[in-house]
Amino acid sequence: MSSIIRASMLCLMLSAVAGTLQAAPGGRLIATGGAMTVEGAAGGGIVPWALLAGYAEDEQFGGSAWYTQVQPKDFTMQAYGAALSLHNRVELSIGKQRFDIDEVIPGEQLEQTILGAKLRLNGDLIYTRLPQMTLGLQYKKNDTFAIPESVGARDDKGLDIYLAASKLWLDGPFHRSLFLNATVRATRANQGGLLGFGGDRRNRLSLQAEASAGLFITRQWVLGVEYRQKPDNLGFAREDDWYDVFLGWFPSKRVSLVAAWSDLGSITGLDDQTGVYLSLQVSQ
Amino acid sequence: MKPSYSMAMGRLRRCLAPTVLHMLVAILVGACSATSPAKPEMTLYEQLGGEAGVEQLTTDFIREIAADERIKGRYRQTDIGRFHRMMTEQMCMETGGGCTYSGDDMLQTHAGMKITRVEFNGIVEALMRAMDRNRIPQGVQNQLLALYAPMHADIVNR
Ligand code: HEM
Repeated sequence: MSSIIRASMLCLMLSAVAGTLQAAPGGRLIATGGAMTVEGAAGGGIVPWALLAGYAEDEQFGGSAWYTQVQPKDFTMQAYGAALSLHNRVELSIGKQRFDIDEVIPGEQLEQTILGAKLRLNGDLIYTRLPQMTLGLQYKKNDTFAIPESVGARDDKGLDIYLAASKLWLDGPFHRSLFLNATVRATRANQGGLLGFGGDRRNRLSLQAEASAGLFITRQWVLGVEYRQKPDNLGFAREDDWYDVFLGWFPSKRVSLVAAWSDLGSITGLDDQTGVYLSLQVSQ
Repeated sequence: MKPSYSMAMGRLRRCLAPTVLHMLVAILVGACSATSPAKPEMTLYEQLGGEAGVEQLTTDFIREIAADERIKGRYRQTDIGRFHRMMTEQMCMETGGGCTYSGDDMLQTHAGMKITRVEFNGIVEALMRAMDRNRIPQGVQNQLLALYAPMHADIVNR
C-alpha cells in the first residue's frame, strides 16, 4: 500500500517537473540550484545544501529530476528522484535508492525511499552577507529491512533533521567564485539508512557534521570536495565517514552533470569502497 | 625584472601548495586565464579594455537588456542615451577608471519600481551575456559582478 502511495507521489512530482519544463527555467542564476544528492535534496552528491532544487525565484515554481549511479569497489548504487521547489522557500523531494550487495549476499540488494522537505529560513546565497540558511527533514523508509534487522538495526524508518548554511562569493580566490556549505545533521541512519536506523552499539540520534566547498573555474564548471561524517551504530561492521571530489558541469540551467570520485570507506565489512559517482539532473 | 620574478615565484609557490585539489585548481585556473595574463597593477577598468572596452560593454549590455522579455518593458519610457551614459560613467567609476558618476544613486533611481528578484537576476544575466560577447575573461567578469551584486539591497523591492 505505502509503496503505491510512494510510486504515485514520484509520478506526480516527475510530471509536475515535466509539466513546468515547457516554460523557461526559473529566474535564479545558473548553478545556484546546485546538484541533487543521492538522498534527493538539492546539494552536492552526499551533502544537502541550503539551496533549493532548480531555479525558482520568490514568485516561481521549480524543481529537478535526477538519476545517480555510484560504483564503489564492490557495490553498485542507483538512485533517482525528483524535487519540487516553491517560491525559493520550500523544497519537497522524493528519492529512491537501490544498493546492490551481491558481493556480500548473492542476489540481494538494499533499498530505501526518502521523502524530503526543506525550508529556507533566511539569507541569500549571493546577495546577503549572511549565508543562506535552510532547515531540512528527510523521512527515510528502508524497503528491505530483513537484512539490516539481521545485523542489529533497530528500525526500518528514521527521520534526519539538518541545518545547512551556504554562501557563494562571486569574486573568490583566483578571482573565481567560491561556494562553501556547512551542514549539521541529527540522524540515526546506518549507511544513510540503507542499513536501517539505530543499532546494537548505539540507538540514539547523533549529530554529524558535513561540509562542501566548490570553486567555479567558469560559470559552467565547478570543482569541489565534500565530507560527510557518519554515525557508527552497528556492531557487525564498521561504518566510515564519506568523502568525494567532484566536477560539476552546468551547460545550461536545464541540465547538469556531476562526475565525482567518492570514498565511502568500509561498507558491510568490505573496506576501501572508493569509486566513480555520476549524476544527471534536469532542472526547471 | 623584479615584478616578473616575484610573479613567477608566486606562481611556483601556488603550485607547490600541499593539497592535490589546490594544485588541480591552480592548473585549471592557470589554463583558463592563460589568454589574459592578469597584471595585478592593472585596474579593473583597464582589464575591461579601458574607455573603448567599457563603452562597447555597456552598449552590448543595453542590447542584451532590450532583447530580454523579462526586463525590456521596464525601459519603455527611458531616455536610452542618458541611460547608456550613466551606465558607462557608473561602470568607469566603480572599476577605478577615475570618472565621476553624475546620475542618481541606485536607491533613488529604482525607488517605487518594485523591481523583483527575477528582474535583478535578469539584469545580471544580461551583463553576463554582454561580457561573454566581449570575450572578457572569467576572473575579470567575476570582479565586475562582485561590484554590482551588493546593489541588490538598494534596487530590489524598493
Ligand atoms: C546591478 C543592477 C543595476 C544597475 C547597476 C543599474 C544601474 C542603473 C543606472 C546607472 C541607471 C541610470 C540612473 C540615472 O539616469 O540617473 C538606471 C536606470 C534605470 N534602471 Fe537600473 N540598474 C540595475 C538594475 C535594474 C533592474 C533590475 C531594473 C529593472 C528591470 C532596472 C531598471 C531601471 C530603469 C527602468 C531605469 C531608468 C529610469 C528612468 O527612466 O529614469 N535597473 N539603472
